[in-house]
Amino acid sequence: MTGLEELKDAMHSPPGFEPAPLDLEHVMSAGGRMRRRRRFAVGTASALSVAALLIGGGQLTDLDGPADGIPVADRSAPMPSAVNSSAPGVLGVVVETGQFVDGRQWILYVETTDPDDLDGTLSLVLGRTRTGTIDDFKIAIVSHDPGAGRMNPGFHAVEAGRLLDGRTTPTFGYYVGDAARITARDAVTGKTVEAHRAAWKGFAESEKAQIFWFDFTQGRPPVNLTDLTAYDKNGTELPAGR
Amino acid sequence: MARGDEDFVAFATASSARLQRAAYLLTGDPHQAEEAAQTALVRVYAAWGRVRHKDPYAYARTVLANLVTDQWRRPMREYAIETMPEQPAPHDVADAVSKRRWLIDALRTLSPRERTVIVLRHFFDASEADVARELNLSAGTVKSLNSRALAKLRITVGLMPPLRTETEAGVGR
Repeated sequence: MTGLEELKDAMHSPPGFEPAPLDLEHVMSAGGRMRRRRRFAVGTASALSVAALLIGGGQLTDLDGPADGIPVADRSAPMPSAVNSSAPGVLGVVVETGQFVDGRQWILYVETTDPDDLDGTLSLVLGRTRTGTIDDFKIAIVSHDPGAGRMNPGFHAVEAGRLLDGRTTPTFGYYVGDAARITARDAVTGKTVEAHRAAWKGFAESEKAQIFWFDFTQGRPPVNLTDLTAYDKNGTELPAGR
Repeated sequence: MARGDEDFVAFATASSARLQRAAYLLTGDPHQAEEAAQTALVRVYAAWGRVRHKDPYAYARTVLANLVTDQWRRPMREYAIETMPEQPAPHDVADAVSKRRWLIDALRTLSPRERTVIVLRHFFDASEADVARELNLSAGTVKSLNSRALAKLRITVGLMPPLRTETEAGVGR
Protein backbone atom coordinates (compact mmCIF):
# COMPACT_ATOMS: atom_id res chain seq x y z
CA MET A 1 0.00 0.00 0.00
CA THR A 2 1.07 3.57 -0.48
CA GLY A 3 1.36 5.88 2.47
CA LEU A 4 -1.90 7.50 1.52
CA GLU A 5 -3.74 4.20 1.45
CA GLU A 6 -2.31 3.34 4.83
CA LEU A 7 -3.48 6.67 6.14
CA LYS A 8 -6.97 6.08 4.78
CA ASP A 9 -7.01 2.64 6.31
CA ALA A 10 -5.95 4.04 9.66
CA MET A 11 -8.55 6.81 9.53
CA HIS A 12 -11.32 4.32 8.83
CA SER A 13 -10.25 2.09 11.71
CA PRO A 14 -8.67 4.36 14.32
CA PRO A 15 -7.35 2.11 17.09
CA GLY A 16 -8.83 2.65 20.48
CA PHE A 17 -12.01 4.25 19.21
CA GLU A 18 -15.34 2.52 18.89
CA PRO A 19 -18.35 4.52 17.73
CA ALA A 20 -21.11 4.60 20.32
CA PRO A 21 -24.77 4.03 19.53
CA LEU A 22 -26.32 7.47 19.28
CA ASP A 23 -29.61 8.42 20.87
CA LEU A 24 -31.64 8.99 17.72
CA GLU A 25 -34.74 9.78 19.74
CA HIS A 26 -32.89 12.71 21.28
CA VAL A 27 -31.46 13.66 17.88
CA MET A 28 -34.92 13.84 16.33
CA SER A 29 -36.39 15.63 19.30
CA ALA A 30 -33.69 18.31 19.28
CA GLY A 31 -33.74 18.53 15.50
CA GLY A 32 -37.50 18.93 15.53
CA ARG A 33 -37.23 21.79 18.00
CA MET A 34 -34.63 23.46 15.81
CA ARG A 35 -36.83 23.03 12.77
CA ARG A 36 -39.79 24.61 14.55
CA ARG A 37 -37.63 27.52 15.67
CA ARG A 38 -36.51 28.07 12.12
CA ARG A 39 -40.04 28.00 10.84
CA PHE A 40 -41.00 30.54 13.45
CA ALA A 41 -38.04 32.66 12.48
CA VAL A 42 -38.81 32.43 8.79
CA GLY A 43 -42.34 33.52 9.51
CA THR A 44 -41.30 36.56 11.49
CA ALA A 45 -38.13 37.70 9.79
CA SER A 46 -38.74 38.93 6.29
CA ALA A 47 -35.95 40.13 4.06
CA LEU A 48 -36.86 43.64 5.08
CA SER A 49 -36.60 42.86 8.74
CA VAL A 50 -33.26 41.19 8.19
CA ALA A 51 -31.97 44.35 6.58
CA ALA A 52 -33.45 46.40 9.40
CA LEU A 53 -31.84 44.06 11.87
CA LEU A 54 -28.42 44.80 10.52
CA ILE A 55 -29.07 48.51 10.65
CA GLY A 56 -30.36 48.08 14.17
CA GLY A 57 -27.23 46.20 15.08
CA GLY A 58 -25.20 49.17 14.03
CA GLN A 59 -27.28 51.42 16.19
CA LEU A 60 -26.79 49.16 19.13
CA THR A 61 -23.07 49.50 18.88
CA ASP A 62 -23.15 53.25 19.19
CA LEU A 63 -21.98 53.88 22.72
CA ASP A 64 -21.49 57.59 22.41
CA GLY A 65 -24.74 58.10 24.29
CA PRO A 66 -25.38 57.98 28.02
CA ALA A 67 -22.87 55.91 29.90
CA ASP A 68 -25.38 54.46 32.32
CA GLY A 69 -26.23 51.50 30.19
CA ILE A 70 -26.35 50.08 26.75
CA PRO A 71 -28.94 51.56 24.44
CA VAL A 72 -31.23 48.63 23.79
CA ALA A 73 -33.28 48.42 20.66
CA ASP A 74 -36.57 46.62 20.38
CA ARG A 75 -36.18 42.92 20.41
CA SER A 76 -35.38 41.76 16.95
CA ALA A 77 -36.75 38.66 15.41
CA PRO A 78 -34.32 35.77 15.37
CA MET A 79 -32.83 35.25 11.98
CA PRO A 80 -33.28 32.02 10.10
CA SER A 81 -30.34 30.11 8.85
CA ALA A 82 -32.29 28.18 6.28
CA VAL A 83 -30.51 29.80 3.37
CA ASN A 84 -27.06 28.81 4.53
CA SER A 85 -27.37 25.08 4.73
CA SER A 86 -24.12 24.62 6.58
CA ALA A 87 -24.83 27.19 9.26
CA PRO A 88 -26.32 26.40 12.62
CA GLY A 89 -29.18 28.54 13.87
CA VAL A 90 -28.46 32.22 14.22
CA LEU A 91 -30.19 33.61 17.26
CA GLY A 92 -30.78 37.26 18.09
CA VAL A 93 -29.24 40.36 16.64
CA VAL A 94 -26.41 40.43 14.18
CA VAL A 95 -24.00 43.10 15.36
CA GLU A 96 -22.15 45.30 12.90
CA THR A 97 -18.69 46.38 14.00
CA GLY A 98 -18.46 49.15 11.41
CA GLN A 99 -15.09 47.78 10.31
CA PHE A 100 -14.62 46.54 6.77
CA VAL A 101 -12.05 44.38 5.07
CA ASP A 102 -12.05 43.43 1.41
CA GLY A 103 -15.43 45.11 1.03
CA ARG A 104 -17.02 43.03 3.77
CA GLN A 105 -18.04 44.24 7.19
CA TRP A 106 -17.02 42.35 10.31
CA ILE A 107 -20.09 41.15 12.16
CA LEU A 108 -20.69 39.30 15.41
CA TYR A 109 -23.62 37.04 16.14
CA VAL A 110 -24.76 34.10 18.21
CA GLU A 111 -25.31 30.62 16.89
CA THR A 112 -26.85 27.71 18.71
CA THR A 113 -27.76 24.14 17.90
CA ASP A 114 -30.45 24.13 20.56
CA PRO A 115 -32.15 27.39 21.57
CA ASP A 116 -33.51 25.59 24.62
CA ASP A 117 -30.01 24.85 25.85
CA LEU A 118 -28.02 28.03 25.39
CA ASP A 119 -26.01 27.18 28.47
CA GLY A 120 -24.45 24.28 26.64
CA THR A 121 -24.67 25.26 23.00
CA LEU A 122 -24.20 29.02 22.59
CA SER A 123 -21.37 29.98 20.26
CA LEU A 124 -20.26 33.46 19.32
CA VAL A 125 -19.30 33.92 15.70
CA LEU A 126 -17.08 36.53 14.09
CA GLY A 127 -17.93 36.75 10.43
CA ARG A 128 -17.91 39.05 7.45
CA THR A 129 -20.67 40.07 5.12
CA ARG A 130 -20.99 42.17 2.02
CA THR A 131 -24.76 42.24 1.59
CA GLY A 132 -25.98 41.75 5.14
CA THR A 133 -28.06 38.76 4.14
CA ILE A 134 -27.50 35.58 6.02
CA ASP A 135 -26.47 33.50 3.04
CA ASP A 136 -23.59 35.91 2.57
CA PHE A 137 -22.11 35.47 6.04
CA LYS A 138 -18.53 34.25 5.88
CA ILE A 139 -17.47 32.70 9.17
CA ALA A 140 -14.00 33.65 10.42
CA ILE A 141 -13.95 32.50 14.05
CA VAL A 142 -16.44 30.43 16.04
CA SER A 143 -15.84 30.78 19.74
CA HIS A 144 -17.44 29.18 22.75
CA ASP A 145 -16.57 27.92 26.18
CA PRO A 146 -16.13 24.19 26.56
CA GLY A 147 -18.97 22.32 28.21
CA ALA A 148 -21.89 24.04 29.89
CA GLY A 149 -22.14 27.27 31.83
CA ARG A 150 -22.11 29.51 28.79
CA MET A 151 -24.83 31.71 30.28
CA ASN A 152 -23.20 32.02 33.70
CA PRO A 153 -22.32 35.55 34.81
CA GLY A 154 -18.99 36.75 33.49
CA PHE A 155 -16.91 36.78 30.33
CA HIS A 156 -17.27 34.09 27.72
CA ALA A 157 -15.85 33.04 24.38
CA VAL A 158 -13.19 35.74 24.48
CA GLU A 159 -10.89 35.65 21.48
CA ALA A 160 -7.82 37.83 21.19
CA GLY A 161 -7.35 39.85 18.04
CA ARG A 162 -5.09 38.28 15.48
CA LEU A 163 -4.06 38.27 11.89
CA LEU A 164 -6.20 35.71 10.16
CA ASP A 165 -5.46 35.05 6.50
CA GLY A 166 -3.99 38.53 6.34
CA ARG A 167 -7.01 40.16 7.95
CA THR A 168 -6.93 41.82 11.35
CA THR A 169 -9.65 40.52 13.66
CA PRO A 170 -10.88 42.27 16.79
CA THR A 171 -10.61 41.06 20.34
CA PHE A 172 -14.18 40.04 21.07
CA GLY A 173 -16.44 37.99 23.31
CA TYR A 174 -19.63 38.26 25.26
CA TYR A 175 -20.43 39.15 28.83
CA VAL A 176 -23.35 37.88 30.88
CA GLY A 177 -24.25 40.47 33.47
CA ASP A 178 -25.30 44.07 33.83
CA ALA A 179 -22.08 45.71 32.68
CA ALA A 180 -22.02 49.43 31.94
CA ARG A 181 -18.39 49.39 30.84
CA ILE A 182 -16.01 46.75 29.63
CA THR A 183 -12.35 47.67 29.50
CA ALA A 184 -8.97 46.16 28.85
CA ARG A 185 -5.39 47.33 29.08
CA ASP A 186 -3.08 47.70 26.13
CA ALA A 187 -0.15 45.51 27.15
CA VAL A 188 2.31 47.69 25.26
CA THR A 189 1.22 51.22 26.10
CA GLY A 190 -0.53 50.47 29.40
CA LYS A 191 -3.47 52.51 28.23
CA THR A 192 -6.97 51.43 29.22
CA VAL A 193 -9.32 50.96 26.29
CA GLU A 194 -13.08 50.56 26.33
CA ALA A 195 -15.00 47.97 24.38
CA HIS A 196 -17.95 48.54 22.12
CA ARG A 197 -20.97 46.71 23.43
CA ALA A 198 -24.21 45.50 21.93
CA ALA A 199 -27.15 44.00 23.76
CA TRP A 200 -28.12 40.47 22.85
CA LYS A 201 -31.22 38.46 23.77
CA GLY A 202 -32.33 34.92 23.22
CA PHE A 203 -35.92 33.73 23.28
CA ALA A 204 -36.39 33.91 27.03
CA GLU A 205 -36.28 37.20 28.89
CA SER A 206 -33.55 35.84 31.13
CA GLU A 207 -31.33 35.03 28.17
CA LYS A 208 -29.35 38.24 27.93
CA ALA A 209 -25.75 39.06 27.22
CA GLN A 210 -23.57 41.79 25.83
CA ILE A 211 -21.52 41.14 22.75
CA PHE A 212 -18.38 43.25 22.90
CA TRP A 213 -15.33 44.00 20.82
CA PHE A 214 -12.41 46.36 20.91
CA ASP A 215 -11.28 48.79 18.27
CA PHE A 216 -8.86 47.46 15.76
CA THR A 217 -7.24 48.70 12.59
CA GLN A 218 -7.19 46.72 9.41
CA GLY A 219 -3.75 46.21 8.02
CA ARG A 220 -2.07 46.63 11.39
CA PRO A 221 -1.15 43.90 13.84
CA PRO A 222 -3.77 43.40 16.54
CA VAL A 223 -3.25 45.11 19.87
CA ASN A 224 -2.30 42.82 22.73
CA LEU A 225 -4.91 43.39 25.41
CA THR A 226 -4.91 42.22 29.00
CA ASP A 227 -6.90 42.77 32.21
CA LEU A 228 -10.33 42.41 30.70
CA THR A 229 -12.74 43.92 33.25
CA ALA A 230 -16.45 44.68 33.47
CA TYR A 231 -17.94 47.46 35.61
CA ASP A 232 -21.49 48.29 36.61
CA LYS A 233 -22.98 51.78 36.24
CA ASN A 234 -21.48 52.80 39.59
CA GLY A 235 -18.01 51.82 38.51
CA THR A 236 -17.94 48.71 40.66
CA GLU A 237 -16.06 45.80 39.20
CA LEU A 238 -18.27 42.90 38.19
CA PRO A 239 -17.46 39.18 38.28
CA ALA A 240 -15.24 38.04 35.47
CA GLY A 241 -16.55 34.49 35.67
CA ARG A 242 -14.46 31.45 35.18
CA MET B 1 -43.38 7.58 12.41
CA ALA B 2 -43.54 9.60 9.20
CA ARG B 3 -41.90 8.33 6.04
CA GLY B 4 -39.33 11.12 6.24
CA ASP B 5 -38.48 10.10 9.78
CA GLU B 6 -38.00 6.51 8.73
CA ASP B 7 -35.65 7.66 6.01
CA PHE B 8 -33.75 9.79 8.50
CA VAL B 9 -33.40 6.94 10.98
CA ALA B 10 -32.06 4.75 8.20
CA PHE B 11 -29.63 7.48 7.17
CA ALA B 12 -28.52 8.19 10.73
CA THR B 13 -28.07 4.53 11.52
CA ALA B 14 -25.99 4.01 8.43
CA SER B 15 -23.83 7.09 8.81
CA SER B 16 -23.43 7.63 12.57
CA ALA B 17 -20.39 5.39 12.96
CA ARG B 18 -18.57 7.05 10.09
CA LEU B 19 -19.45 10.51 11.33
CA GLN B 20 -18.18 9.61 14.78
CA ARG B 21 -14.92 8.32 13.36
CA ALA B 22 -14.48 11.52 11.40
CA ALA B 23 -15.27 13.57 14.48
CA TYR B 24 -12.75 11.53 16.45
CA LEU B 25 -10.09 12.21 13.83
CA LEU B 26 -10.92 15.90 13.96
CA THR B 27 -11.12 16.31 17.72
CA GLY B 28 -8.96 13.50 19.06
CA ASP B 29 -11.46 13.02 21.87
CA PRO B 30 -14.01 10.17 21.93
CA HIS B 31 -16.56 12.12 23.96
CA GLN B 32 -16.31 15.23 21.80
CA ALA B 33 -16.57 12.99 18.78
CA GLU B 34 -19.80 11.46 19.98
CA GLU B 35 -21.22 14.87 20.86
CA ALA B 36 -20.18 16.42 17.55
CA ALA B 37 -21.63 13.57 15.50
CA GLN B 38 -24.87 13.71 17.42
CA THR B 39 -25.10 17.49 16.99
CA ALA B 40 -24.42 17.14 13.28
CA LEU B 41 -27.29 14.67 13.00
CA VAL B 42 -29.55 17.05 14.91
CA ARG B 43 -28.90 19.67 12.27
CA VAL B 44 -29.37 17.20 9.47
CA TYR B 45 -32.73 16.22 10.91
CA ALA B 46 -33.70 19.87 11.25
CA ALA B 47 -32.95 20.33 7.56
CA TRP B 48 -34.12 16.89 6.47
CA GLY B 49 -36.90 18.19 4.25
CA ARG B 50 -34.38 20.14 2.21
CA VAL B 51 -31.49 17.73 2.11
CA ARG B 52 -33.04 14.25 2.04
CA HIS B 53 -33.37 14.24 -1.73
CA LYS B 54 -30.00 15.89 -2.32
CA ASP B 55 -26.94 14.59 -0.53
CA PRO B 56 -27.63 14.34 3.20
CA TYR B 57 -24.27 12.72 3.82
CA ALA B 58 -22.43 15.64 2.26
CA TYR B 59 -24.58 17.97 4.30
CA ALA B 60 -23.73 16.08 7.49
CA ARG B 61 -20.05 16.18 6.58
CA THR B 62 -20.19 19.93 6.09
CA VAL B 63 -22.00 20.47 9.34
CA LEU B 64 -19.51 18.31 11.20
CA ALA B 65 -16.52 20.12 9.75
CA ASN B 66 -18.03 23.46 10.68
CA LEU B 67 -18.79 22.23 14.17
CA VAL B 68 -15.13 21.64 14.87
CA THR B 69 -13.93 24.72 13.02
CA ASP B 70 -13.49 26.50 16.30
CA GLN B 71 -10.84 23.94 17.18
CA TRP B 72 -8.65 25.69 14.64
CA ARG B 73 -8.41 28.60 16.99
CA ARG B 74 -7.80 26.71 20.17
CA PRO B 75 -4.61 25.25 21.51
CA MET B 76 -6.15 21.94 22.56
CA ARG B 77 -4.47 19.00 20.89
CA GLU B 78 -2.57 21.21 18.55
CA TYR B 79 1.03 20.32 18.04
CA ALA B 80 1.51 21.90 14.66
CA ILE B 81 4.95 21.81 13.18
CA GLU B 82 6.02 24.32 10.58
CA THR B 83 9.23 22.66 9.46
CA MET B 84 9.26 19.25 7.97
CA PRO B 85 11.65 16.73 9.43
CA GLU B 86 14.37 15.23 7.30
CA GLN B 87 13.59 12.27 5.14
CA PRO B 88 13.74 9.23 7.39
CA ALA B 89 15.05 5.80 6.68
CA PRO B 90 12.37 3.18 6.03
CA HIS B 91 11.38 0.89 8.86
CA ASP B 92 9.34 -2.22 9.11
CA VAL B 93 6.10 -1.96 10.94
CA ALA B 94 5.40 -4.55 13.53
CA ASP B 95 1.70 -4.90 13.00
CA ALA B 96 -1.23 -3.18 11.38
CA VAL B 97 -2.83 -2.00 14.59
CA SER B 98 0.26 -0.31 15.94
CA LYS B 99 0.83 1.29 12.57
CA ARG B 100 -2.71 2.60 12.45
CA ARG B 101 -2.30 3.95 15.96
CA TRP B 102 0.90 5.56 14.93
CA LEU B 103 -0.70 7.17 11.88
CA ILE B 104 -3.56 8.55 13.96
CA ASP B 105 -1.00 10.01 16.36
CA ALA B 106 0.83 11.48 13.38
CA LEU B 107 -2.44 13.04 12.23
CA ARG B 108 -2.57 14.90 15.52
CA THR B 109 0.75 16.55 14.80
CA LEU B 110 -0.93 18.49 12.02
CA SER B 111 -2.45 21.88 12.58
CA PRO B 112 -6.23 21.66 13.05
CA ARG B 113 -6.80 23.21 9.66
CA GLU B 114 -4.48 20.77 7.93
CA ARG B 115 -6.12 17.93 9.80
CA THR B 116 -9.60 19.04 8.76
CA VAL B 117 -8.57 19.18 5.12
CA ILE B 118 -6.99 15.74 5.36
CA VAL B 119 -10.12 14.25 6.92
CA LEU B 120 -12.43 15.81 4.37
CA ARG B 121 -10.24 14.90 1.41
CA HIS B 122 -9.08 11.43 2.38
CA PHE B 123 -11.62 10.14 4.88
CA PHE B 124 -14.72 11.51 3.18
CA ASP B 125 -13.13 11.55 -0.28
CA ALA B 126 -14.43 15.06 -0.88
CA SER B 127 -13.03 16.92 -3.87
CA GLU B 128 -10.79 19.93 -3.40
CA ALA B 129 -13.55 22.14 -4.72
CA ASP B 130 -16.03 20.74 -2.21
CA VAL B 131 -13.59 21.13 0.67
CA ALA B 132 -12.89 24.71 -0.36
CA ARG B 133 -16.59 25.50 -0.45
CA GLU B 134 -17.38 23.74 2.79
CA LEU B 135 -14.53 25.35 4.73
CA ASN B 136 -14.84 28.71 3.01
CA LEU B 137 -11.27 28.56 1.78
CA SER B 138 -9.82 29.13 -1.63
CA ALA B 139 -9.09 26.07 -3.75
CA GLY B 140 -5.43 27.02 -3.70
CA THR B 141 -5.39 27.11 0.07
CA VAL B 142 -6.99 23.68 0.26
CA LYS B 143 -4.51 22.30 -2.21
CA SER B 144 -1.62 23.81 -0.29
CA LEU B 145 -2.86 22.59 3.08
CA ASN B 146 -3.43 19.11 1.72
CA SER B 147 0.01 18.91 0.13
CA ARG B 148 1.75 20.24 3.20
CA ALA B 149 -0.14 17.92 5.52
CA LEU B 150 0.57 14.87 3.39
CA ALA B 151 4.21 15.80 3.22
CA LYS B 152 4.34 16.09 6.98
CA LEU B 153 2.54 12.81 7.47
CA ARG B 154 4.64 10.83 5.07
CA ILE B 155 7.83 12.07 6.58
CA THR B 156 6.57 11.78 10.10
CA VAL B 157 5.44 8.26 9.42
CA GLY B 158 8.88 7.25 8.35
CA LEU B 159 10.69 9.21 10.98
CA MET B 160 9.15 7.64 14.04
CA PRO B 161 8.05 4.06 13.51
CA PRO B 162 5.97 2.45 16.22
CA LEU B 163 8.77 0.86 18.17
CA ARG B 164 7.69 -2.09 20.20
CA THR B 165 8.03 -1.60 23.88
CA GLU B 166 9.15 -4.46 26.01
CA THR B 167 5.60 -5.08 27.11
CA GLU B 168 4.20 -5.03 23.61
CA ALA B 169 6.95 -7.19 22.25
CA GLY B 170 6.58 -9.68 25.03
CA VAL B 171 10.19 -9.56 26.00
CA GLY B 172 11.14 -12.36 28.30
CA ARG B 173 8.39 -14.65 27.14
